[in-house]
Amino acid sequence: MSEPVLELSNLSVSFGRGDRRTTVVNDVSLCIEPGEIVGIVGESGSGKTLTAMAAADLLPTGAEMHADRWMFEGHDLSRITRGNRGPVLGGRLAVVFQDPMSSLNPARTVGAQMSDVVRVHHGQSRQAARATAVDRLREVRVTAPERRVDEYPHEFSGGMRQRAMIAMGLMTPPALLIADEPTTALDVTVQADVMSLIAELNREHGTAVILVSHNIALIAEVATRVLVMYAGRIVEEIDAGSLATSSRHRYTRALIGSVPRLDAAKDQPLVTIVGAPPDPSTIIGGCSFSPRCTHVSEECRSSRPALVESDAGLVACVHPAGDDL
Amino acid sequence: MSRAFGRRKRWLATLLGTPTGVAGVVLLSALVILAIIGPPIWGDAAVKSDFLRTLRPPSPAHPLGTNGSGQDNLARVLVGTRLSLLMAAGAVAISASIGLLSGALLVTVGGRTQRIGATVIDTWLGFPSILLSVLIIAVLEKGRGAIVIAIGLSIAPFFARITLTSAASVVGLDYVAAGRLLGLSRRRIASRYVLGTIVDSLVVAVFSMFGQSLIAISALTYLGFGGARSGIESWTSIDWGSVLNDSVRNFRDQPASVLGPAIAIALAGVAFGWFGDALGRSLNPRLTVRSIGGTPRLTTPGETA
Amino acid sequence: MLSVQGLSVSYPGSDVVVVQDVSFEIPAGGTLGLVGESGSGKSTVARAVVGMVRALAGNVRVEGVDVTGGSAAAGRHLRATTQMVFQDPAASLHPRMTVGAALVEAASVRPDVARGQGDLAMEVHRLMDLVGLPQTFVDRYPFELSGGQRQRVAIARALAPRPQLLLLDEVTAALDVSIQATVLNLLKELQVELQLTYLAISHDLAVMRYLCDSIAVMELGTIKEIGLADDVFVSPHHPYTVALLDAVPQLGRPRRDRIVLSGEPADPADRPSGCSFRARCPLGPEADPERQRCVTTTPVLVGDAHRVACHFPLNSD
Repeated sequence: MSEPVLELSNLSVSFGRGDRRTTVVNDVSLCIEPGEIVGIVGESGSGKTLTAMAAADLLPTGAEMHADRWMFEGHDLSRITRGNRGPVLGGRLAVVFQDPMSSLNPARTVGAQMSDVVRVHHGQSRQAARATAVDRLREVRVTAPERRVDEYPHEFSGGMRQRAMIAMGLMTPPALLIADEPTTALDVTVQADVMSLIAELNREHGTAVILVSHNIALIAEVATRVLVMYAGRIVEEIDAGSLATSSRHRYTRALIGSVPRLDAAKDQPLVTIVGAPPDPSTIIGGCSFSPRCTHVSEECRSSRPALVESDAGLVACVHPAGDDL
Repeated sequence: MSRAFGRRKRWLATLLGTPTGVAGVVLLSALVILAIIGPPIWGDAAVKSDFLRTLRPPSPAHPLGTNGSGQDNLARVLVGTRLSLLMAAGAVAISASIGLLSGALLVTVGGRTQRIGATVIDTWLGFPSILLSVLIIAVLEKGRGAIVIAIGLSIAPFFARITLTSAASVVGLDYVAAGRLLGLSRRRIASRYVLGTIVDSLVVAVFSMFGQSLIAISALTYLGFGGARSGIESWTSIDWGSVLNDSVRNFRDQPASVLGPAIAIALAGVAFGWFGDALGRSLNPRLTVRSIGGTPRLTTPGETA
Repeated sequence: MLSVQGLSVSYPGSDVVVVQDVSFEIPAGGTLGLVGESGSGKSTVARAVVGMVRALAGNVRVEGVDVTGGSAAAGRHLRATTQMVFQDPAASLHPRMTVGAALVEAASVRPDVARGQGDLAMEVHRLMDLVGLPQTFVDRYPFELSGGQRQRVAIARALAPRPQLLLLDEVTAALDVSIQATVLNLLKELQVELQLTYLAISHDLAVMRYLCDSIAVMELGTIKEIGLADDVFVSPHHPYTVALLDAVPQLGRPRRDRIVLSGEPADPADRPSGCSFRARCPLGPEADPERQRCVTTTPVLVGDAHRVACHFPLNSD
């Protein structure tokens, strides 16, 4: 049995100090096996992005993380100081952000930025690194890669930049790719293309993927396993194949019902969830979804349900769907 | 209404929410009070010459000593507050009205004229303002009026730039488009939608420019651009720059006298900047929220959340 | 209700045509959805309808009145009948105006509806009720509201002049999924209650499926396919429509062979000959060299109710 690529247990992320301290991610445990695609789905404020960024050691300044265990490919990251994690993560972990423009240096050519990782970690020469960059750009279906490699990020379209980011991650096939809303700013057609690229990368190089998105249908299509986050916690973990039919958490159910479908009857109103996702700074006793849940009972408000095994995965719900009151 | 009261209280709380805000408010109030009561109280002391007690060191009777004419240095600084503030106010009034009008005009016209105008403004801005003022004074005639006009003209492009940049960014926003679609008049859109939104950056600019022009004016009067002293001095012609000039000239004999005008000028310059920043923060409701409480949503007093 | 004939629009200050010869009609009480990728010109069409951008050619008629010219009478007619809701409610509401102030202002542009203080207060009350906002929100500023609540305010403001035609420009794109559903339901309820006509724009085809009864698919400034939503979504004729539909992830739909487009849309400044979609078309001349007609001849919309601009349409018996 091979060891997991990434293991995080009881992760919490918080901002601020003293009585202004706000914990935005609570008790999140992640275990990513080699070659699997794990989707994290949630709405704004669910903590999905911060969870992914914590895993990638890319939390914004001011954020403080704590985890009982934080392993990457057998290295205990919690025992390594922040400045010394580079050799462990470099080349083995790639990250793709929602806005590729903000993560590319506008003043350097795409090729030069792609070359950095192999020149630093593998001591490749400038020419060899450039050749690798051209290969990788071709692999992510950038047209005319020999010319494109010497262009600057602003000369690329949004979809191309995102592909270039993935190509950058491919320079040394990484063990883990973390993609945070990689297609949110893109057209559906480009989204489909980028997603098939990520799936291909996973298939061909065995790269494990953490895919973060607010789009539950997108996650279900690409991922093998789905984590549903709400108000900073994982409320359900489920096989992607079972998501559409066998989810048990009331929030997951409502979320699925609220998404318009191409094949749905037009006259049937969408499932609505009253209220809005809670602000991270408001503390809700009991289940965080209880103020918006249609199946709420006194028990939901008084004690927070733990994440326990269900027939399709894990669920944290007092009244999971399937055994209605 | 309790709600309106709540808003006002919040507004004040933000204004006084930071140490610099408190310092700005306190110092500025002190300056204004001084400008009002200073001349009637110390006016006579500031101009009364005593040729038997010239260039005296600090003493209980004259805390900052006396100058070459035996006048009380402290009284001169206190009395000088009014003229210094008035001149700065004049300069800011001139520059803000020129800048605002030209900036607003360029935004309204738009297109190529706006781009050309912006270039002119930037060139104007790039010119050192003191040098520009000296040139303007040379064209006009030495005197306090000339200084006020000169400083006013040299900082006008600053206001024009702020108006142009912030208005141009607001004009492109959807809510201005929404206002147009409702059929609101051009005047209402310009005043309520555009000016109403950029007013806080303008207010901040007015106060920080107030401080800066006060310093620049003091520099010019210090350098003697305020015109020659006439025979019999009245307190209406005393400002911090000329007091400083006086003290620096007698620096060797009576160094302490420099402290008064120097501290006054520096403190006033800083106080306006602090006050402007604090005011800007409290005028912008979005920023108010964050500085008041932990939650990013306001609750009304009397409303149960 | 709304009739657009031969509408062409160019970028202001340039001669690059971004909308070319677009025609469609929306009957009173109907909803037409404009779908397409970014740069397809769908938002520009909406902006041309309300006169935010000038038409190069063609005309726009609202209730039979030509509003294209930009004359004062046309403007008055337009503002009395047509309003627009924008994508981002954070940007489309005046940040310094409370909900009440914004609604009072919007309501007072129709003095025939509400006149005095009392009337206006009643009108604001009615509008807030209509969009499901609690009356206690009148004193709130936009930043004190959630995204969904802000969008409700924006809808209420658009409804204040009692328009018959509402332009919806990506109105749910900035909202969370659970909030999107409530806003979409609200729009459908309002349409029935107030007999509104909608012109909706979205890149989200599932949202359009839920909201619209007709669909026009746009690519590079032209309509490629137009018809009833049931026809266009169930049996799409144009390869581009098929590609768009295939690209939408669907929960519970097995991953099957789909048309995935590669490459970029053509540049409107350098419009290709023939069909503008041909370079990306999986069935066009790039895939099938026989199909040279796509290179030489620009396809025009043909058909009766369900029209398509393609030389080799799919699913048409």
